[in-house]
Amino acid sequence: MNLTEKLKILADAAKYDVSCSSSGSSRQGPKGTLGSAARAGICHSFTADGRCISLLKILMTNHCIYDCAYCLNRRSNDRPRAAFTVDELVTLTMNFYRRNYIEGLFLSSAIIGSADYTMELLVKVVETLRYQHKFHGYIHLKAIPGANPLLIQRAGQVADRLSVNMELPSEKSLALLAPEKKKQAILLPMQQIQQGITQQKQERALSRKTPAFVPAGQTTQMIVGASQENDLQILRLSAALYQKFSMKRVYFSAYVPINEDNRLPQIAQPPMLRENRLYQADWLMRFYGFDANELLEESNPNFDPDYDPKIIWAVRHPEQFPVEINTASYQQLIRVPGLGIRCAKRIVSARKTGRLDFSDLRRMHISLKRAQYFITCKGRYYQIQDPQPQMILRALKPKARSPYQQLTLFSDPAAETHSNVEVLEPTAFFPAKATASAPTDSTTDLLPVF
Amino acid sequence: MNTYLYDGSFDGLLTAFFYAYRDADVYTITRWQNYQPDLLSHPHRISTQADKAERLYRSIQQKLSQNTLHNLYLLYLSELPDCDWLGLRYLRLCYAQGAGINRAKHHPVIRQVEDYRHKVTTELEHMKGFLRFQQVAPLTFYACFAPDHNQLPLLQPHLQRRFSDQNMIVHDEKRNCALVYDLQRSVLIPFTQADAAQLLQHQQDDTIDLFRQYFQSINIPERANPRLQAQYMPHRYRQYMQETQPVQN
Repeated sequence: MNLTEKLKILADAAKYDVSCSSSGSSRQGPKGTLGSAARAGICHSFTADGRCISLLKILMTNHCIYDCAYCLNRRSNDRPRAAFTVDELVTLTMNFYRRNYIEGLFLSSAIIGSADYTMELLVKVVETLRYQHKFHGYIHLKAIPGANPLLIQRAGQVADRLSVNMELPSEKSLALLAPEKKKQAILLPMQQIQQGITQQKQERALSRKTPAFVPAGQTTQMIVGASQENDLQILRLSAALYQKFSMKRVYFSAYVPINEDNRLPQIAQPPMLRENRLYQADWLMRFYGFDANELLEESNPNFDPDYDPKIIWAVRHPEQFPVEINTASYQQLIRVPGLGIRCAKRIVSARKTGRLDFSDLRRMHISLKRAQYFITCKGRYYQIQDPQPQMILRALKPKARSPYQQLTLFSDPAAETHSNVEVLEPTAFFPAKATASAPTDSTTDLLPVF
Repeated sequence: MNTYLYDGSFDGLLTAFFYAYRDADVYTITRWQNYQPDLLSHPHRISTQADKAERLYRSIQQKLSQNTLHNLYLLYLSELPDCDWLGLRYLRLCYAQGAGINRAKHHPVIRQVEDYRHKVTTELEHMKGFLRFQQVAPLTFYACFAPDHNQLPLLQPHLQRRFSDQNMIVHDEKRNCALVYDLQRSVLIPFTQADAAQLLQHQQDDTIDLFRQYFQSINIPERANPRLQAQYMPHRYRQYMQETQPVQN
């Protein structure tokens, strides 16, 4: 099997790994060696699914001893299998890096032989790159659950980031879909990595020559939509992971139905909107000071497909609004829907030079589409005085896609009418009548609080 | 009304600022290569004077801030039609109000400076990722691109830090110049398409085929989202990124 075929099989097998970030490390070698890491990370290309290529994301091998229901590489799947040798992978990484195709390597693997054997292979690749080739690019390595702690320690000394896959959001789902994987075996390396990082920090305070240990921290990922957990459970789990293991990121991956298995849900499309809402909430927790329990409640444990989590939080807490732009603290500003970190910083900076009004906000490129209902400038609302929650939700409801479509001059209107365009009832041409009651109904359904 | 013309160098621009600063009757400042005569203004061609440029440079550092100086440099590199004239207005504003005026993000001049700065730095971040090298000789690499703004001076520290053990030629096709690094130092030299053709005539770098295969394999077709792709990776950059062309079997 030649290198191109191996690359084809093993890149294809790695594509469901979510993380591709290359941030958090500022590794730099002496002059005359190859590579450096950029603190903020660099994206080198974007594939047709809109995800970035930053690292060479690849599996060492897709031969696997496990049989997890959701996984493309499970042993019961009849798929072409391949494995890289250490040298092939090292050469490939160096060649790609020298041409600026990638920011570094993201090496993962299916479990071949045993966890220890697999981990040793991964560590060998990275050690060859670092010690023999003096490569200082970014390296993200998967820590294999169940591998010897000494191997994980060695991996931490050469990699920028380590990650252990959480796989699924609960022990129950893990037992159902990946019976060979145990929760304890997953949490153990996470704990070890975190302790290693803390210890390195303490030692570094004493001596600046202390060698790095996982400088870009550890991350994890879990599949969303393959099991029964609701959004609140997932969010609480990720909050706990941030707190207990000081994770840099928790990644969510919308379940893509690739295997036929009666333990898995039958869905046509991956739940991408749900994944998006979870990421929005994740950002709110990491950068905006929100708590998982603020964003969702037991009585309403899933995110709304129509509104982002911040809007829902804001309309549930009318007592916190409106926020006066000229006097509110930064913490209050970032909680306003439609204002982000950058906008809030711009406001805090600009108001030191004078009192701001709405035209000033406009000039600072701050969008008022959502923010207008939650802020005042010099004591005044933008347009509507004292907006009510229901009214806000109605105004911000995403517009339904138009049922009409543009025909081309040469298309066959008869054929298209029958195949694509549904024939509308005459009432549909008078939308005013039809929508008069609809939005109120739907909003009350969505938010029983009102 | 006076139009100040300078030679296109940053020192030249500072010299032009030096003379135009106190002139109440400035019409505009521009590079003499871009100058189009008009009926109303009177052109002054400013020759670069190192001492005047140095004086202004130090003054901005000491009386304003390093950040202001960097903003002016980015404005100069942006090469947008009115960037030099905006630079003068920005400089006047800063001297009148102090460097603290940079905080007033709603001020029309500051806002425009921020916008231009944003354009240049965003493109710089893009170019750090989207530049594609090909090997033309053992450990010697060539890349070409055509950025909207003049990125070579900004890219140089990054490239030299990262690829310090390989010879590089980074060719800006739009400005006909190239950054050349020979393991010791980097220099900017004039470089044309003809030079590039000569460089490339013997060599064929096949690594791109592997990357093209990788680019195709790593995509998840079920999640197709070409709009998002175009948003992150605008089409105008893609002609220099060969991986976006389909794999030939």
